[in-house]
Amino acid sequence: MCWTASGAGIRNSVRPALINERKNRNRIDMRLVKKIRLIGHFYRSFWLLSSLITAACMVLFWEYGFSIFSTLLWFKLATLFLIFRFIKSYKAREFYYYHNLGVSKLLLWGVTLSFDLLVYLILLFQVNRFR
Amino acid sequence: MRHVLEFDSIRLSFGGRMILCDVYMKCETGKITGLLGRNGQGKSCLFNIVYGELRAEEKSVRFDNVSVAKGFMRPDLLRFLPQFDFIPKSFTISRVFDDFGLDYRELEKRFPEFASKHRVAVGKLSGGQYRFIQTYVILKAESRFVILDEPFTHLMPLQIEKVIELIREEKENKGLLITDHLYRPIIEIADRLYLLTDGKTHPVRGLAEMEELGYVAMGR
Repeated sequence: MCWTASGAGIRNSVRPALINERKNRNRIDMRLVKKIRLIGHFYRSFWLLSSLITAACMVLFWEYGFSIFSTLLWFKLATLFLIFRFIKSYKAREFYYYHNLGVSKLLLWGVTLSFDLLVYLILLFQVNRFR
Repeated sequence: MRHVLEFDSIRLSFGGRMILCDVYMKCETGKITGLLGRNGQGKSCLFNIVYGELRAEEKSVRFDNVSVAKGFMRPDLLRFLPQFDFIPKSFTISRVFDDFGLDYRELEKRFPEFASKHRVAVGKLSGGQYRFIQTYVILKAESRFVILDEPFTHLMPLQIEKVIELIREEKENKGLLITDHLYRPIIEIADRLYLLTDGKTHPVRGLAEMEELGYVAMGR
């Protein structure tokens, strides 16, 4: 390592390290953005169907309230499972695309299903608030 | 820098039928390793096992002597071109290039047939162009090793020539594993050849040895 006493020398030796660090951080940010974009695209393959099911559950929840909450929750989970089974075989080939970009099936399913379920629960609680 | 991919001790059976039992292959940076074999011998299964997509009863896959069970989790180490179309058909070419960190202008410059097609969805391309784009991105994207499972399928002779040219270029900084039923181009470009038969890999040097193992029939 080059160590110089002058201020300019220190600046010159520190600057490349900072530039490299910034470049690495940008690269990591880009990778994260790409991964989010890929997961978003994957979610688009079933969000419409899932949203329709969520909307139907919201209507039922508006009518009957918390008395059918557990039934609706099991219904939502069952439909998500069916969607999972369908997409798993229907889009089997496309998983190679995601894998070649470092996005595993576990990450794709984990993020999209959790997000979908979270949105579902938030919407049901919002319905309950305005009921 | 030179890197080595080795795999052995792979065992795979389906319903009591042994598919793979005695396999050893080695691939290095700067070398093209070809794998040949009849239909149903397990070539694609073997590559899927190496990539981590298919679970084997036993396996040992090593990158520079470090065991990596799920190659698909490490695109920096290994990328895989499956024998079928894998890019979502709705994606535009520029989107695919962006995902793989590639420059579309380079493709346009070298292959004018793709000029100003960056906004075209890959599903709208001809079968040959679609396959070519898939092979191109896998070959060109940053990685130490590349597996190509039937890269010449759906391609016309002119496109095959282009793919061979790309493979030779990428060989400079990558190790390549390749299989296809068009065995002549494989023999032409491979530095090392293996023949998969009865679940075992046999290093072979030429057509005569392949004939001995029942892969080709010469002079008939």
